[in-house]
Amino acid sequence: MAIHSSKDYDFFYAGLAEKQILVQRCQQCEKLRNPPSPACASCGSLEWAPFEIRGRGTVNSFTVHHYPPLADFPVPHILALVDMDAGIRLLGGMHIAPPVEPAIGMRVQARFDDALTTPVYRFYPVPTKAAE
Amino acid sequence: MTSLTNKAAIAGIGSTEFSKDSGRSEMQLAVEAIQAALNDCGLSASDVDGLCTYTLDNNSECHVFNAIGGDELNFFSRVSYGGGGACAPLLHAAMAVATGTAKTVVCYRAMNERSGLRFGKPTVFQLPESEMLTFSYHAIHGLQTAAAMFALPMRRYMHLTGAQSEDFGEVSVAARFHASTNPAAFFYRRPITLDDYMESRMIADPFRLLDCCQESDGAVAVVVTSAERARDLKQRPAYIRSGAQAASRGSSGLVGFYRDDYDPWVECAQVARRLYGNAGLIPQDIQTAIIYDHFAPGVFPALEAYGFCARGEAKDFVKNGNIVLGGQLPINPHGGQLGEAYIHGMNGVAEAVRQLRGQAINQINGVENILVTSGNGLPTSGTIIGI
Repeated sequence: MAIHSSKDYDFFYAGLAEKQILVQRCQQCEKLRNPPSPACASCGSLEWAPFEIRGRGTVNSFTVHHYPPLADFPVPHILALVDMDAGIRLLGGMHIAPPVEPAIGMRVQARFDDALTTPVYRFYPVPTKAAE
Repeated sequence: MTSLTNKAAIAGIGSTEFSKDSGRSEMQLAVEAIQAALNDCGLSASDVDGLCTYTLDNNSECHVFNAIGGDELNFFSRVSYGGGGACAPLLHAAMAVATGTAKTVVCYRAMNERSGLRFGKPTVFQLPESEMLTFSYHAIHGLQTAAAMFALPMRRYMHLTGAQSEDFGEVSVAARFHASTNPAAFFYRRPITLDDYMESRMIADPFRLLDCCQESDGAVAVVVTSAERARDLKQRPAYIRSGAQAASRGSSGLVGFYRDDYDPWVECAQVARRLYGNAGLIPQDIQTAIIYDHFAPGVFPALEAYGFCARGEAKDFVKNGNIVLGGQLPINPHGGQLGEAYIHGMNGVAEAVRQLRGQAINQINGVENILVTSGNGLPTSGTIIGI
């Protein structure tokens, strides 16, 4: 599926090409934001810089797409909204090995996966409490 | 009450048949529905001086106006956000009529949604530039269908309220029960059971096939004019008590899930406050409701937001026959978009008018005020109409 970008969004796709998850950080009040926007909805500043999100987060919600087939992903395809520890919510695909099922509250880690045809991160469960 | 209350009325309704393949152009469907609506109230094309539709409608105003043989068009507007805008053309029409901007406004929606461009597919609509950008931003992860987008807030809703799949099934079964006696409905003579629902295949967890509305070809049109003029026409007027549109901080077309509270309740509650407040009514004044059912589970947060039960309690409210004919609040007595057809909410508007006139297939006695809602999980709208 062709990507539709603009001057507001280009930094995000450039980040993906470098295997980085980038969001915007307001230069004035330091608030993180996504999806991309030219202005900070908190303080109105037009000044921002890309900010890399790394590490872990907690599943806020998820769905499992079964039908219809998707061009770039095998189905069933899990999608999750994840509250990253860095303080921002991200959407991403999720890879889980059965019999583990996706669940709200699950701890996950974002990683770039060379197996995917599109350069995009996915979430993987953080296996045990010890792994924290 | 605001200055809009009871100033305008729906005088006429018209529709085509609902099918999976209409065999004719969307433009022809629009014209047929508009002609039927004008015939219904006894007006002619030369009386029409306003048109309202959805931004997603493929039939442009002048082409429609020329096709029906109109003379002078004084008002035309379109509403965005798909089914979220379903009731908004009525508000725009009522405002145009109440202010004297136009005398007679036709609201229409005509589409070959099943035989043409199917909304259920992973597809890129022709949307405004900024909407295309957010679509792409999520599509790269594989979030590409309306079902999967709306499933995210509803899975969260289940987590917060304890609602289960079986509870959502009540809405799905009620819709097909109502549709089973409606000859215009896809589910005519085809009621389903809760077992049928639970056995239907997953589309986008937690949505099953029987949670999804009917992809449809068809058109519906309604004629809005002043209350005074409507009283001289063929049918009993259905007065527009109030109308409202709403988006709030962080709203977005099915992807407004970056805010703390992205329950599809949020925008509905904003519409509800203004609908009831502006009409001087309370939920207890409503005898039946058309609750937008793109996906059956979406009815739950709507029932709560529009004040029929407390937040999080729809799972109990929908039980014991409460939402079927004879219950405390029968909803979608025509079968809704799950059971009758999906004309982007406009077939629900037509049903509301029939209920007020006493012309419905599944007629509810003594309907004085009916609530009509629009798609939730995105900027939405609603109206209360009454007799």
